[in-house]
Amino acid sequence: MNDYSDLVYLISAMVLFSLLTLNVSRTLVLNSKDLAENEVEYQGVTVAQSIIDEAKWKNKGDFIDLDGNSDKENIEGVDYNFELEVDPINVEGTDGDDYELTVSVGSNYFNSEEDYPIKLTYIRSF
Amino acid sequence: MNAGIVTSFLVGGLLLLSILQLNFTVSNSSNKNVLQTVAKKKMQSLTETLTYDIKRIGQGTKDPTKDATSAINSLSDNQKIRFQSEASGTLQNTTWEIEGKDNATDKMNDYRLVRTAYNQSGNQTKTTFTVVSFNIQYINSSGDLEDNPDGNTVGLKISVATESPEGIQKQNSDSTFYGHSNWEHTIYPPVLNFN
Repeated sequence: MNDYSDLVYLISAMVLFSLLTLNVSRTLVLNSKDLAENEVEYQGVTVAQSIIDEAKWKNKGDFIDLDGNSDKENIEGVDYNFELEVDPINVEGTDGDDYELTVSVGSNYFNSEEDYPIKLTYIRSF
Repeated sequence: MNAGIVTSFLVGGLLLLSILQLNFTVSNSSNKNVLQTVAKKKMQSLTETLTYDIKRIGQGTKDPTKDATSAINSLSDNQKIRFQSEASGTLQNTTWEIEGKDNATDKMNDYRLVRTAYNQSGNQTKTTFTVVSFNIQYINSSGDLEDNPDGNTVGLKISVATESPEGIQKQNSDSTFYGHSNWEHTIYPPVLNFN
């Protein structure tokens, strides 16, 4: 009987140790994934910022024509898809025509249910 | 020898090996994360200065639309740029260029990216960053990439890569792992876009 109880203790200890190992491995994988996602997200924001920087200098016609544009950019092997939307808006206190440009950026590497989790907006008056 | 003791030694030995393996994996992963973060931090401090400088190209020159293109001097390759801009009320020339291998590290692919700012009194300030690659291309008004700036240049496409100064031995491999970070940004300096 004494031998059997030793065996039960041993098996229980090994099961507990396996569970601990599994949890540690899972945490390590999640950490690495978060780090990689963070890197992709940082570059995604840079892609959106570059598009806005370019749009700042367009004339009214070209700026409005950006509406509905979509494309993708490959940076260091990662594809960034982006979509542009231009909406007329009214900014109180301004006389000119106001437009809001929304740049949405997505990538397969984002862990998000949304297709385009990064959204940057820019308002311009003409 | 008692069979029970032999079995205990075997099982205990296996358990000890597993614990050692787990310990190695945890510390390895933790080190990798630290190296990635180091590379990222290096990149952030570099890109903040670089973006600030490039956005101010040609600012404060007497005739911005005329001087803007002549303010940039690509120094004939894509790893150097020199331009004029205003800082603290006076015009200064700023140069960003790769000045050869960084001897401060053991890595073969580390280069010294040096920012030199000269003011009109001839004083210069040098700031050195360590990078793996640094590349500048110019975008003309049609959106095409060019190797040299000209009268039609409206933007600059800059790509930089940094790595952690130290690495760790990869598991089951002779190679070394270094934390790596890339940055690519297209900047449209205001002065180059005033028509």
